[in-house]
Amino acid sequence: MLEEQMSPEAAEFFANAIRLLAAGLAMLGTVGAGIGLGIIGNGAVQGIARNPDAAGTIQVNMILIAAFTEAVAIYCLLVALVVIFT
Amino acid sequence: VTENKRRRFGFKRWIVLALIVSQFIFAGIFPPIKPHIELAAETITPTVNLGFLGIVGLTNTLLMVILADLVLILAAIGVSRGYKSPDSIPAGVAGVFEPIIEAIRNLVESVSGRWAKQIFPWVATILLFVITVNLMKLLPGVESIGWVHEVHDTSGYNVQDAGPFQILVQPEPGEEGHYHIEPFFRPASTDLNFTLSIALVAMTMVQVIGFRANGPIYLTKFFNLKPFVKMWVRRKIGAFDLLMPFIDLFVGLLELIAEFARIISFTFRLFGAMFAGAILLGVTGALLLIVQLPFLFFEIFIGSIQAFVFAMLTLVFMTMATHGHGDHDDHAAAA
Repeated sequence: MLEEQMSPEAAEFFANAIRLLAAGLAMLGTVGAGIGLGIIGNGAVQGIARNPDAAGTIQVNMILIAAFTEAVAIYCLLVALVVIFT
Repeated sequence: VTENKRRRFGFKRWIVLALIVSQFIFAGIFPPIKPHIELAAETITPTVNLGFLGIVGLTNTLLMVILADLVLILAAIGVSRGYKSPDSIPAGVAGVFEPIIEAIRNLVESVSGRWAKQIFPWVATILLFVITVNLMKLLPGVESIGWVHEVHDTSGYNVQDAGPFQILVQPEPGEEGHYHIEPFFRPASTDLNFTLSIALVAMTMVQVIGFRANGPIYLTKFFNLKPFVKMWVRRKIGAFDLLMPFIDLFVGLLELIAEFARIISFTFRLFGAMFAGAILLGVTGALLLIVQLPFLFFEIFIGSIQAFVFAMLTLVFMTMATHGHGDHDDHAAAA
């Protein structure tokens, strides 16, 4: 459809522009992961401040949950990379 | 003795300084190129057609896995040689690995308790293997030495002869390059097959350990038919008793779906983090020279954390599988 209305070069340029925009939009999902990581860090630091003896356990759990949260951001990154590089 | 000591005092820093200076010199002669990013692993040997198995060749990520295996086997041989007798002081590589293994063991024992002996080998293997693979990404030559091959689109680079080798250079703004590089070694975690296979092994062993801990009762975690039996046995049935078994069945099916979702999440977490790291290193290496150093440290950190997370999640899932299925287990014990 695009080729009928504009020259091939313009169509390719347009497709590339849309692709980059799509990658940028995919990265919007990382906003939620960022907020989530902030909340996790907040909770962990408060927990350690109130009960410094439990720091080891809290840190291990924090890293675990942070990994779950970070996974969402990594999925977004992956989608963006796939959109750009394939 | 004094001469030896003086040589040891200043020798290694000169190597580092020479490397830094040579980095500048080489970057002046052959400017670094922006990386060409390929999602799938490249085949570096001639391919063989194996009929229904498809066209098979050695890929560069597989070569990296073999290299990592060799490193781990050599480390294992070194550790076994480090102990003269079971309670002697460890020597050589064994001294490095003893605290690591001990730390993993303590972690596993604190989390999984009675089943630590069965779970520990899997967690330790995954941790050591993934961390080796992830850190070997930072070796020089990985993703930069390989065959030069021609492509027919405009995304390539120009080649420049340098003795027996060829070096890719960024084409001038006007002209088009037609060559790509197929590296001999590429970080294994940037191949989906690698992360998927480790995830499959981990989740399969989770089920096996669940069966060993609970016996066939483990299946009721997914296909929860016990409430139906209970409903059948019971004399008087209220309206709520008719509904609850179906809800329990549905929850069990959700658990089954969650097991498969864990495979996918394992796979893409490691792959995504490592692939993004490879791109980050490539881009910073092309744009900035000395400033790339902090990114290398960052990649050491990310690689270790991702390996730790992978092993830790395996540990937690295995421990969850060994636990009985809530109150139903109590009924089974009573009956």
